[in-house]
Amino acid sequence: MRLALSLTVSLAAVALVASGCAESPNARGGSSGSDDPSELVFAVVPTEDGEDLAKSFEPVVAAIEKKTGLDVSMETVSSNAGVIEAQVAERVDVAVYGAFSYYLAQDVADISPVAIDQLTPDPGSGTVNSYGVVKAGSDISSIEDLKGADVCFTDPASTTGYLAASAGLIEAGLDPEKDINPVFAGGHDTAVTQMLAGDCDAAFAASTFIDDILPAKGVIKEGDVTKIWTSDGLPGSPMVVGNWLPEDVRKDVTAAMTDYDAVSAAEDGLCEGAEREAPAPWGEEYAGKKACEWGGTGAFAFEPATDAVFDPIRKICDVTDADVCREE
Amino acid sequence: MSASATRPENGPSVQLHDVGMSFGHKQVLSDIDLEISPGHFVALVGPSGAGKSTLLRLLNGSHLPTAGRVSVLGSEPATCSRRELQQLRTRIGFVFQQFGLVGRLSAMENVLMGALGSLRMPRYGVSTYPRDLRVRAAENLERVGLLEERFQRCDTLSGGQQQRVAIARTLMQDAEIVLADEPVASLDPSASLSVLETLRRLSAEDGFTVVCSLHQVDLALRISDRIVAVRDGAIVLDRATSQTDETELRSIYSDRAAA
Amino acid sequence: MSVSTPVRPAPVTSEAREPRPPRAAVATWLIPLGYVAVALFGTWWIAIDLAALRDGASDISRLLARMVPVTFGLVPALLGLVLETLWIALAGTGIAALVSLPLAAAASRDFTGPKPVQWLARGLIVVTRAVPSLVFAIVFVRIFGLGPFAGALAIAFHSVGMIAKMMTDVFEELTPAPRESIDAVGSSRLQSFVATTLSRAMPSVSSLVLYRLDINIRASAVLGLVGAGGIGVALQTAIGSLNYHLAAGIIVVIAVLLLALELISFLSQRAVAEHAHDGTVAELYRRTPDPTRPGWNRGRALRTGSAVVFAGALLFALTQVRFDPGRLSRSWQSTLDLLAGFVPPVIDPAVVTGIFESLVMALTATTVGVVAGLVIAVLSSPHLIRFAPLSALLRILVVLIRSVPDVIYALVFVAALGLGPFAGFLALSISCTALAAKFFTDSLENVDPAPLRALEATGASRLQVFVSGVWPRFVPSLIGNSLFTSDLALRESAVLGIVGAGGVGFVLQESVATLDYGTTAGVLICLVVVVVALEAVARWARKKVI
Repeated sequence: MRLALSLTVSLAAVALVASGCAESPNARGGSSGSDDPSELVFAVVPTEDGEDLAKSFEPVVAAIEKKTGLDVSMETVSSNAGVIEAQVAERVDVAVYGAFSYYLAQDVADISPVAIDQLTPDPGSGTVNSYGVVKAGSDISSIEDLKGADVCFTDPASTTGYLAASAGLIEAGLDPEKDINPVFAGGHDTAVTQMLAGDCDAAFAASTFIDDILPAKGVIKEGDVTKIWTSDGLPGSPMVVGNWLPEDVRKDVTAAMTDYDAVSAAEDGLCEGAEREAPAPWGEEYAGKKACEWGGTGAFAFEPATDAVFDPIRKICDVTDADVCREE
Repeated sequence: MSASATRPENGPSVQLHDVGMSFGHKQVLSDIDLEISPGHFVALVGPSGAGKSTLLRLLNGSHLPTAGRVSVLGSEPATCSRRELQQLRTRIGFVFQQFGLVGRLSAMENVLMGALGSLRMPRYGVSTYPRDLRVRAAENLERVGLLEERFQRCDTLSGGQQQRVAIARTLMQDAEIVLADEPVASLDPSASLSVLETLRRLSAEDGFTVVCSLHQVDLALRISDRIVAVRDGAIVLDRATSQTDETELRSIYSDRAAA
Repeated sequence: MSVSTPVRPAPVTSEAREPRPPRAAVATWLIPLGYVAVALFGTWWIAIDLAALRDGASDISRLLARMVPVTFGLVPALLGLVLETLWIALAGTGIAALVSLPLAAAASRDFTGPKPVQWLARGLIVVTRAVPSLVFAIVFVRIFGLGPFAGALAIAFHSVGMIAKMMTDVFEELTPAPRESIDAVGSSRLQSFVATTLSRAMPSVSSLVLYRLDINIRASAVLGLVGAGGIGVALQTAIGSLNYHLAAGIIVVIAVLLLALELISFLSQRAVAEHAHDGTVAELYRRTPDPTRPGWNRGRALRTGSAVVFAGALLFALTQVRFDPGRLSRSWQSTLDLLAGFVPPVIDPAVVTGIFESLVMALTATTVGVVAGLVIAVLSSPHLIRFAPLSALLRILVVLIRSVPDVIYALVFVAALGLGPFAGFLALSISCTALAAKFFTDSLENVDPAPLRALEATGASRLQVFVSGVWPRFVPSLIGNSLFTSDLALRESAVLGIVGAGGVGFVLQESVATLDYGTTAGVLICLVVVVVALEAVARWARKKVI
């Protein structure tokens, strides 16, 4: 009893002292939106394949801090709407999120895309695809065969898990709401596993899940699924900067992203102690070299991006006229 | 309807030999010898904390003695299995100071609960009890003068009425012994007397034994055949009520105050 | 009262409840003190700055302006989703309530059966409560396939923890006298339980089950994971695509549904009111010429009617969530593979910090919520202020606060304050306020009125009656419910991940999204530990206070 009492009292004392004297780990510079920021707020929304999101962006943050000379505070956020609203209120200066989130955000927030991820040294390698897959040995061999079938999707607001596929179905002459029976599985992995379990005849999911993540986790094995459809390339994850920032800051942020790549960042010591070996797809030139984790998708670099990069999303929205695409 | 007619043997209802009881280090009862014959109305008096409640609970097997032997209706609770104890308890009625009624149920349903020991499955609601039990419940409510209140919520009845419902509940058991623990301690004097008189009348009609702990010496003298006084865990007086006078009984309380 | 000071009847069960040393008061101030201490620490940790909130007011109004005009999309489609949600929530809550009854009976400290059974029941209750429905959903969708059945089951499993825990508390708060008297007639354990414990607990039990139904309707977003659809998924999609007009419309629909439920709950509680309030019929059945035949009156019709309606709704809901037994055999292997992914559990620094952060935030938000909730509860209970419109207004207000999902509060505060723990904390404080207000209102209403009338009869003022009659009896449930609110807030702290406050919610969601189930298992283990610890404190406190 005495122990509990003294513990409580000392905890209270510590709390009082701490709140009086020390800076909270969450204390804010609080100058966002002003002309002369002392700190940048950088928000990241997980894309499907993030490993350790906060850690993989640390070198990127270091690069931005180095180029701009400003402190950067990073927030990992699970809701795209949260980041977009913070951008509307000019309280998030730099953000990385999915291409569809950008498509939604550009309508309401004063922002510009400055860079987009590039998975290998080849420009444009950051594009992602949506796959349509069926169980090996299925009668269905093309998207046209899906008429009347049960089809698993991710969720209605997912580009690679629904919207792209929906546009593909329309182009193939099928109404994605009437000619097939859509089942929303909630996740890319569930869409595929439930298709394999027989809950639906076909599934649509992001290419990374079918090519990398599910095989790596042992959820699907070589030859389990047959690809029946591949979408056009869709933009990957852009980095978006608020137009309210002074021009020089915006330039410096852009430069931090486009001047470095994962390997030169490692050479510059932006991720000391956390280097990894350059992966095979980066080619001979980089074989055996040290590289940084460079963003949530494990990119090689970020390449300059303009609004035009997002035209494939606009096209999908034009074709499908989906509810989620509608502007306010 | 007479319970004594169905009783197989005519030995004593209750027999305690050298009984002691302690909770941890606290000795509550010691060297208790007591024998009660069938059909008697015994008042158990003594100051608070003397051990009256514990003694009553030894008699229905809620407590097991830490020394000596307790025998009730020919069985020893200490050697009974759970099932046997359950059966023994169906033959012993217990009336509590706090009535022990379910306030939000009707008087009838509370009375019917007294017959649960003779049923197999749990029951909920008056209509779930068999008709013959409902007939008996109505009869027993009538015997305690509460037939009109049969479907009244118990917590809307007066204290005296609630204790009568509790007594009617023990009648459902066809009990051979009724143990009453301060049954009138939370009632006003006139309700107290009428509750005890009801108990006395029913005991005479059905022939069941009553052991009733009481605070009020005057009531004990008025209602009982025999008075057993307990103090500090021991029996200090045990004799027929007709041979006991009030001053002597009062001294059991005042001595303690003086000590 | 008579002159005698009656001794409380000695307990029948064991020596466990021998008179305790008079230390009862300790828990009543030690625990609030602990909350205040954590809240002070939390205030610093979160960097609470109310001036910032004022500065962001214009951003809040701009965001709210974007929600009008409210739209409902395709009305038949929306109604279809509402019904679907209702059936899933009903089936899930109903299954949970039925399973909870025996579990709670066995977990209660009055249980006289074998000890291992009691431990097992307590363990099941804690674990099902600690595991978020998200995780149950992942597992059940593998076993039972996409669809409402897996959804209902995920809801049922998670609800068992909360319903059974609250039932246990209700059972333990009952006075032992009636149970002892029915034990004494030689009844079996089950008979005695039904006759004395269940019958007395019925009003509280039905109100807590209805309350859980309310939570489950709002929690149906998780059903999106199992392809069961429902209104929660539609709401998530609307918010995710910034379609706030539709989001607001869906919230209006949810609010209407919850208000209807609250009304039903209020009416049915009145029908089976525990205490004879003025106007409650004292006669439970109509008297008929045959004394053994209970007749029908309004009260009996209401009681039977509501029981039949609820049973019917539950049965219908069960037919709506179809179960395909043939699927079980097909999914056996993939389920085993999935479960194997949870081993070995990974408890890395991110998990531990996440739990710590969530706990600090949950406790701080509870402190705010308990104070605000207490004010609401005292104002809406009839003890101090007897002004029915105010009480009705507050009741409706609490329901409205509850029907707005956490993510909307988070968005509003993010607009005002930017990302970070402060926004998440404010959102969490609002849900804690609603939770605490609901718990406190209920327990204030359940305070036995008889002693209060006695006090009033002595000429005491309402404030005096409240302070010396109501408050002492309310303190145990105040403390118990505060700890329980923290327990729930810990899991609601997923909202903190939405706005970048880290916490365990984000770690959990990310580990699930990236199929990193080892980390998921690590989070679950930590959650179980924290919930068990809170439970232990709560048990200790109840022992001291009750």
